[in-house]
Amino acid sequence: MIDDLSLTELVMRAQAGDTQAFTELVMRAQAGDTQAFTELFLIHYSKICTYLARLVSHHDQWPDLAQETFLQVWKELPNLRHAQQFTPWLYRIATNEAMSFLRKEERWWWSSQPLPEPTEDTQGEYLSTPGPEESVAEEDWLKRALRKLEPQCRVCLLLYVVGGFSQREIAALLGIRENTVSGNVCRGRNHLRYHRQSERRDV
Amino acid sequence: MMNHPLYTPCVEWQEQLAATHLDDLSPSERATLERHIVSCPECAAVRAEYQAIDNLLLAGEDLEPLPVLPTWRLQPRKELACLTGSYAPVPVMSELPGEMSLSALADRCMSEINHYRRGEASSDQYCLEIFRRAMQKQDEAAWTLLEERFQEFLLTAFRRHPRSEAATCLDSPENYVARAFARFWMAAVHNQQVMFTSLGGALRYLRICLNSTILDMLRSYARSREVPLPEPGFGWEPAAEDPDEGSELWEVLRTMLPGERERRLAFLLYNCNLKPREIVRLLPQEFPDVGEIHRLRRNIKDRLERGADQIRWRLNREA
Repeated sequence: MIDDLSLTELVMRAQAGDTQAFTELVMRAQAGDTQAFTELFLIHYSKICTYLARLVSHHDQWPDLAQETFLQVWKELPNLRHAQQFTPWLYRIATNEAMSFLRKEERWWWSSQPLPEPTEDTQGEYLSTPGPEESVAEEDWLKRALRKLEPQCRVCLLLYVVGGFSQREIAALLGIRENTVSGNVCRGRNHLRYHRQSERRDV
Repeated sequence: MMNHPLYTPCVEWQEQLAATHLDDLSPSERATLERHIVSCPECAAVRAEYQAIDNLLLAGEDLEPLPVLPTWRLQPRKELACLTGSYAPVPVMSELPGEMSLSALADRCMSEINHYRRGEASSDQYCLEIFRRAMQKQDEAAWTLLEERFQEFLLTAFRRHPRSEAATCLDSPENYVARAFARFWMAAVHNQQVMFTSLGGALRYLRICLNSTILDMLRSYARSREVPLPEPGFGWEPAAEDPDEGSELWEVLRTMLPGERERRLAFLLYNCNLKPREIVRLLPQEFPDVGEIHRLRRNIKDRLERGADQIRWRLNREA
């Protein structure tokens, strides 16, 4: 019986993709088991941190947001009706935390200026030689490009790429239509692609 | 050198190309898309770009995540408190950590860690005192105690690291942990201002040391297979089979940098793709100080930025 398993066995099975074991882990956490909750935290924290760091990419507060997310999850866990829905529910809470932070900061900003259209000279060679600075530069343009992406589009793209959810799952998670998610993901990807291109041209 | 043209995907395939999740397209839709990609280089290139950008977005996982769950902030829920009788008691600090002997400190630290692991209220002042004595007072016994107490923490962190499997092929986990402590020690010795106000902060720093040790090892191994390290006194000219445009660029850059030391460093940084720390590790005779490398690198970048137009002009002329 799965409910007779020790916490360690449960975690191993959950990490191997056993959904029943994962659900049992969530149910134990729901019953107030802090050890089980700590394991849920360890399973998800890396991805959640990446998700939040990208979502609020122009701020440094993502560790605080991640911490608040998990504290909020702990508080609200008894109200989660379907334990198997834990992961999307966790991302929903993380998204809400990030959005309310950004709203409070009143720094939702994205450019109304369209990105410049690519021109012929972008076909040329580039002077830059890939080096250690390149990764720093890439991180830099990525932050700026994400900042310019409108909020819903950014959330959809990050849930898709970082969270690993399907478009249908994201639609359910955010309460929007699947077509909207699909459009947002496509638009978000192209926005980053154009921005990357524009950045390279300016080098 | 690479070309970076902006590819335009076929309009009718745009959304399918962006849909990389397995559940988003049926097997037949995916097969049709794959057939199209084979015959359409533009769509194939766009998909490769999406993949590269996804990798960048996911690379954020190297960001140092939260070290521990703040279990002390997980208040027992009301119904649970009723069952257990009471909330965990807040410990009274009966003895000042600064006044305690090291062995008493070690015991108290252990008991606080156990409180913490059980999700009970705990104080991190005793553990922090060990860090303080090891780092600020450079107390050898405190340092040994610190290593003993937190070795297991780093080993667990190593096992949970996404690249631990690849790293284990190159060295043992214990060696990574030992090097992480050495890095931590170097940072503490060279910067007496570093002091932590919470155990979380200290452990986070330790994890950063471990992560950078792992990544440095993986990078240096990957690089050693790609770019052989030049001998000191190596001529500026790259090997004969190197692409011509590369040597032209380097020739121009070389003339832009006045000092031999700057030229040598530029070569190591930008041609060999070495990081400053790796240069210190691999060429300690030439570059013993990482601070000097950072300073020179800033100079090089400033100089090249100022002369960017001249570089472009000279390359065009030579082309």
